[in-house]
Amino acid sequence: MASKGNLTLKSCNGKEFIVEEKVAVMSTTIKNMVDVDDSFAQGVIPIIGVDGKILAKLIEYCKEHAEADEDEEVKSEEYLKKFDEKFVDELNLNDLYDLLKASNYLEITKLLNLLCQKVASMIKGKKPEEIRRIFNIKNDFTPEEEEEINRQNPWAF
Amino acid sequence: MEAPWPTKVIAKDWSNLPEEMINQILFRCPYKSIFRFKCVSKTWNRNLSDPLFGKAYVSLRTEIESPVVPPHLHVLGFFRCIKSLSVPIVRLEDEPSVRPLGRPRSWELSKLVAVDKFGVFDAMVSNNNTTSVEGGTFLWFSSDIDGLIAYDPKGARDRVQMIQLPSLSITNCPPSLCQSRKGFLQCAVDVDQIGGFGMYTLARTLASYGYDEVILDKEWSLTYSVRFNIPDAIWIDPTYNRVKISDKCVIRIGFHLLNPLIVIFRMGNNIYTCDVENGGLNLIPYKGYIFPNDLFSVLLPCVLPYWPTSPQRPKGIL
Repeated sequence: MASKGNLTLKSCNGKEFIVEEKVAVMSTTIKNMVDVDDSFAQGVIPIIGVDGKILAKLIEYCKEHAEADEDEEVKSEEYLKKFDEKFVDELNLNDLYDLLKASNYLEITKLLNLLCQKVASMIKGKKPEEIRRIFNIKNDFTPEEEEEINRQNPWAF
Repeated sequence: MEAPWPTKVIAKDWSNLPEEMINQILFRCPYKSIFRFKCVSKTWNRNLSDPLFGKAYVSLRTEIESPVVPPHLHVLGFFRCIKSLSVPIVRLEDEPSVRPLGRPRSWELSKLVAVDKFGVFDAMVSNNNTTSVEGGTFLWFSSDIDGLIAYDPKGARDRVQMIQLPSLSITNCPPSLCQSRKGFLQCAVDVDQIGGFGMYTLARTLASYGYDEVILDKEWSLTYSVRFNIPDAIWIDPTYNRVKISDKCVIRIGFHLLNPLIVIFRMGNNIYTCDVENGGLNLIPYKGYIFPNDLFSVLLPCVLPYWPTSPQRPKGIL
């Protein structure tokens, strides 16, 4: 049972995390749940489809940002920027994918933007065939059609 | 630096990501990647060619890079930034109504939006001011940068040159541009408030300047200066606090198609030619209606810019 001002989040594999409310409500989804139904604030909030490892990561991120929002002097913008960089750099590809989905589901906009930026920096400069492989997309162009598109955008190559 | 994407096993199926999230990722990719990714699949091509995508892309990029969001942008293409000014140029779609005359279709460019570090400025250049010289370099006048933007589709591909206008020029009327007989860029600009213009020539050919270069005003030299003495041609309109130009005022239209030493202009409802070499004005019989207040949209067939090759040396004027 969480003490006042704290919320309990439960991952899909049963791991529980007690977090401060201000940290948890960085997620718009959780904020809405707590706002609409007071019983969530008392009991345990199940986070569907997010396992303990990913949830811990999410909480780590939200904690830093919630604290920075509260006190800019202790956690400056520069500090946050460094934290964000380190945070995404340490993620492996699978975690990145899981975090993307989780932050989308939980509506943690800042984190979602950060992750999208990270993926963008990974795919930029890639050739179309690499993009197809990454996103598991079938090339449904005929060679002529592909040539035509290249012709239209010569500066892109 | 480009981050590597692991080449071994990708355990997660990234194609499962919702389309919106893939868009969010693509919004954060550079211009060039976006256009390369059009080749990924038909769905991606459709998505990335969608005006809505272009609009969202530009507004997000601008939001990230600067606080001003440009309105109603329809993005078709992009140019890389000019380093010295850090101004990425974004090519927008043509509107059918402002199509340039006589250009190959694939290079119809009519509007530019430039984003610099101070914000977005709409380097709007109407088609009337678009011209082409030196075997197909496009030129636009932009009042926002108070200069010219030059784009060579064959040589520069994704870069543009910025050309400062000759100093002392005022821009009541966009500069008229053409190629001089020696093959240099020639430009006629207003030099005083009461009707008169200076004809300037660039010191070197456009191609001899670098594509990332800003061509400075000192590169221009004055070759001819022409004045008309029409005192009450300009006044300040108190309602809009704007400069207005009377019917008596001379408004430059452009250069003669075949003779770069003849400037065509209008005064009131008449069209004149001015031979700067020999002096003298000639009235051209012109029956078309000219909108009295329309300063810039008078384009006659005879002032088509050079395209794609320089014409023969002229034999006399019109």
